[in-house]
Amino acid sequence: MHSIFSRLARSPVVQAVLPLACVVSVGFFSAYAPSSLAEHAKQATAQEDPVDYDLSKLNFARIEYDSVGGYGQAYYAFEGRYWERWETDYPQAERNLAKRLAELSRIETGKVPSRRRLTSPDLADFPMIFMSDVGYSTWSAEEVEALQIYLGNGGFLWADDFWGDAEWAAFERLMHKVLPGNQWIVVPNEHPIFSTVFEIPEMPQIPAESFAGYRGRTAEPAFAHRYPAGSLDRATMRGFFDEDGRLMVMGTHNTDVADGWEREAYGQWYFEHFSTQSYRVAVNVLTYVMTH
Amino acid sequence: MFEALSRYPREAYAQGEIVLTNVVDARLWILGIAIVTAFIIAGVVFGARTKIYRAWQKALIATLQVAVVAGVIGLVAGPHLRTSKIQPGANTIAVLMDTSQSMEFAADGNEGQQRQDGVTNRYDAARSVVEGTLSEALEDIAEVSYFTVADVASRVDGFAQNPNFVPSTRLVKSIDMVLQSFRGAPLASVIVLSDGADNDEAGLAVAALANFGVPVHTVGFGPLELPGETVLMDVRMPADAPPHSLVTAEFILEHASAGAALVQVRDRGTLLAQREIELDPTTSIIRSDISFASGDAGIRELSFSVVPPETDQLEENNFVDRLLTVSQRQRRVLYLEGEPRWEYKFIRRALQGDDVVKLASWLRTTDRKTYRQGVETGAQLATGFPVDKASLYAYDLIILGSIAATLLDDEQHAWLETFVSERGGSLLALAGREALGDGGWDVRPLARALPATLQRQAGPTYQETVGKVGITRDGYASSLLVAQGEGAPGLLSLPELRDIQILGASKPAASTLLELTTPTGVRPLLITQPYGLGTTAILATATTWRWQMSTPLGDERHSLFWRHLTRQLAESAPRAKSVDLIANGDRVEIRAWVRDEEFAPLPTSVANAKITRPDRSEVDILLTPSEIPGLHVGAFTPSEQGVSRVDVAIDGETRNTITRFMQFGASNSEFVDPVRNEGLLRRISEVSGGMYWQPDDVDALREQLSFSGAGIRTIELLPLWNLPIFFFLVLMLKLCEWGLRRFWGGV
Repeated sequence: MHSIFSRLARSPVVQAVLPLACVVSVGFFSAYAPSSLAEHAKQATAQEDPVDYDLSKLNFARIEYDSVGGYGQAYYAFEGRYWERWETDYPQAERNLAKRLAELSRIETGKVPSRRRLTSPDLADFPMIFMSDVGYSTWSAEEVEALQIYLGNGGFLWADDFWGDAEWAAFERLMHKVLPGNQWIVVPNEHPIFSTVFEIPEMPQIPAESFAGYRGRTAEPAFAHRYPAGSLDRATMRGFFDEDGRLMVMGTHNTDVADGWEREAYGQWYFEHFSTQSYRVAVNVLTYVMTH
Repeated sequence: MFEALSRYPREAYAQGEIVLTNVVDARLWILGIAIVTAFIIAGVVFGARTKIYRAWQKALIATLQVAVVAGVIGLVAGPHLRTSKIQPGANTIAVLMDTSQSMEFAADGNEGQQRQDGVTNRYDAARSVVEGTLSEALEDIAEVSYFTVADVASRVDGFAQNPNFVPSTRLVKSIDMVLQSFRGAPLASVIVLSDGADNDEAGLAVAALANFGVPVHTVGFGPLELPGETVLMDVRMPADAPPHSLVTAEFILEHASAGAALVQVRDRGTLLAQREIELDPTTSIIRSDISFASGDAGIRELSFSVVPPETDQLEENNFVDRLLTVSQRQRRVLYLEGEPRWEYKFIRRALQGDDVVKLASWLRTTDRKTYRQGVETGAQLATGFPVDKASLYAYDLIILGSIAATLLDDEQHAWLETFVSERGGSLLALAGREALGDGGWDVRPLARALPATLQRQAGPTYQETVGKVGITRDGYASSLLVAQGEGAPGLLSLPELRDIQILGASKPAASTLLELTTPTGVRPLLITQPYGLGTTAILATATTWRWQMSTPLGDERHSLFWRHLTRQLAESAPRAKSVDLIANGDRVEIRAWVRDEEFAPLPTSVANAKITRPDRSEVDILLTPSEIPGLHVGAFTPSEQGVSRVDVAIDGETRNTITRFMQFGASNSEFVDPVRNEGLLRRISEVSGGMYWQPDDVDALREQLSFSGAGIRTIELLPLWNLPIFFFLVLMLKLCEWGLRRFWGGV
């Protein structure tokens, strides 16, 4: 084996082509890789952000936040473009969910989702906000304070799609800034949220579509998540409750519920195995949030 | 002058009739007069001496001559005045002197000042009238009996200089007592000296005095008005309230001044609330309200008072005492909602933990699934809308959300309407896609009960908009909105609403409390009306949740608005079995409603009341069914000041015992209306055939009594032929006739 590589290294053709290939590769990535996240934002798919929305309906608001790290941490490449962590599954997940809610419940929803930051002045017009892929998220002091007010007034935060111990720890640290002294509690299977509309025996583990069936498991692989991933096998619904027992913040850990909405059209197997469960969870959670 | 010409007093002519004693057969007299008249006319017309007169002159002369002859013939006919006259010494005249506390007030309205005649108060003025000329004049024609009247009538030998003034008056009742006591005895007349105060709320009707046939003459004392006086006439408030709630009391002020007055409410001296009231000089009666916190459970001995302008004279009519029982009494509220929405969440959130309102809700989560919250049993609302009338009537307030009318059957729709009209419950309709007109409620019985007609139009009546809340004049005065502190005025600074349900015209009895100013105009937002025994309201928005989400942390205006609105609506609904205590002078009336779960009266039920007095003694009273089905009534007289407890048991069952408390204290009812009640005094005299007199005119009362009244009387024929006026009349006629003839040259 050593002699084969030695002969290749000495080949004039290899010696001429290899550097050229490196230069082309560097040039290619230089041309297309963003120099900063701000540039990426310009390249991101144009997002609809309606100014007027009917407040008598449930309007989805995806929270835009900053993340730590570089490529593979704060952002990643998928399906031909870069995605910031906050926009994972957005907006197709919300669009599909709006349609399915109309079929599965009597919840009236706005059809076009919105994106907001925690400091957006009209955040209070969305009594429920959604965050995805929060394992690398970071919040400013203003965002922490805004979220405190939002939750204290009766708002609800659903954080989804964060896996493993490290991502959990990161999000837990953030939430302890918002609700110091409050503790995460694993929502038991007997909690009413699991039976408001559909009977859900336990929190389902829903992998991203691209990881579904990976080695026959429902857990996503550790390499796709923050190190050290630790345990990714068991999906849980964890919550922060206020002094009246109201669920204020819900984290669906070790599961990617929103991907089940976004990817329902990506194959019958995925739809039947995972999307249906995602929608059951969504209907139950949203009904619970709109009644408590 | 009259008597000089007519010899007899006016009263004699007013009461008597003129008769001709010498006329046996009127036809002969008429024939005679006719013959004489014919001779006179012939003489004037055809007489030689009358040729110089013209025809009209002859006619005039003939007329005068006939008149003279007729006058003479009339005197010959024997005119007499037949009248009845009181038989001296054979009758009694009752003189009634009012000795209630109001007779202690100044005679002319200037408290503390003495008149030039030495009279300081009304009693003195009345006594001076009796002891002046009246008593002596009356004793000439009858035996005089003296009585003092206040809450009862008492016979006395004379009127003391300083009597014991009684704090209440039952004037009509006292007069009735005196008349009753003289049944069968020759009572010629009754004379009442009073200022006309009568605080017997359920008193005897004045018309009953006519039954005795004895004239009652009234003499009024006291000024007709007191300039500058301010009176706190009445305070109405619920008898009980839940702990830590806002209680609203309505009060009535009567004033004859201008400026401002301060109304205060205290609990055993501790100031609970106060409010400045502007005294409008264009109206003498002001109705307003004052709100205060109920505090912890227990009995509140409240004192309402008014600090009037400096012109006020009587302090005693500036306060009213009331008792408030603060107790844990939950009100049951049913919320029916057709879709999960934020308004539903935040209303539930606002009412959560309220120890007064017990909220049960039923929500359609899907087209085939529902979600119940706040239910007490597994069966409650298991099939959705309450299964029978009794279950529905168990609630005090129903909130209708965005729920289509088609979900209920005809019978359930009928129950909803009778829930308000017959049961007396309250109903609040919210806005929504399937609410009100958009939900098909416009063609249902409940539409009659709602305070606005439900709009029908091509498009939906539920619309997106942006609007700012405004409070109407009715809203500021309404107890449905929190009236003080951060309440009603605090609504004005709340975030905008983002929807509106377009309503039709308001019903005549409706009041718009809140309105929404939108780009397309001002719309009614909160509108309410009484309907039957209950109340209905429409809140034409479903985005009040913004008042919670879009306000600073800790801002409680949203929950305060909903808690107060819900409590007030629920509190106004009566219970199937309830007891009210109503003060009436020195008596307390007990009114017990005894109805079944469908609020139908229970005619065979028996209600007993046990009264525990302040001294711990007990009295049992059987309440009797009244004319109103389901209502049992009774009464008792508190024997001493303090708080009495009344336990009313229905059919002897302990679980059906209702407890109420009543405070009885020193009454200030005499001070509430301190001016002369001339209207009542006139009415008493007119109904009974008497007259109303001013104190200065009572000298003529003797003649009035001589020739009118009841008792033993003699019939007298008083000759009229020798009246000076007849002599002068005949003489004047003859002189006129002669004068004319001379003037025309015939003499």
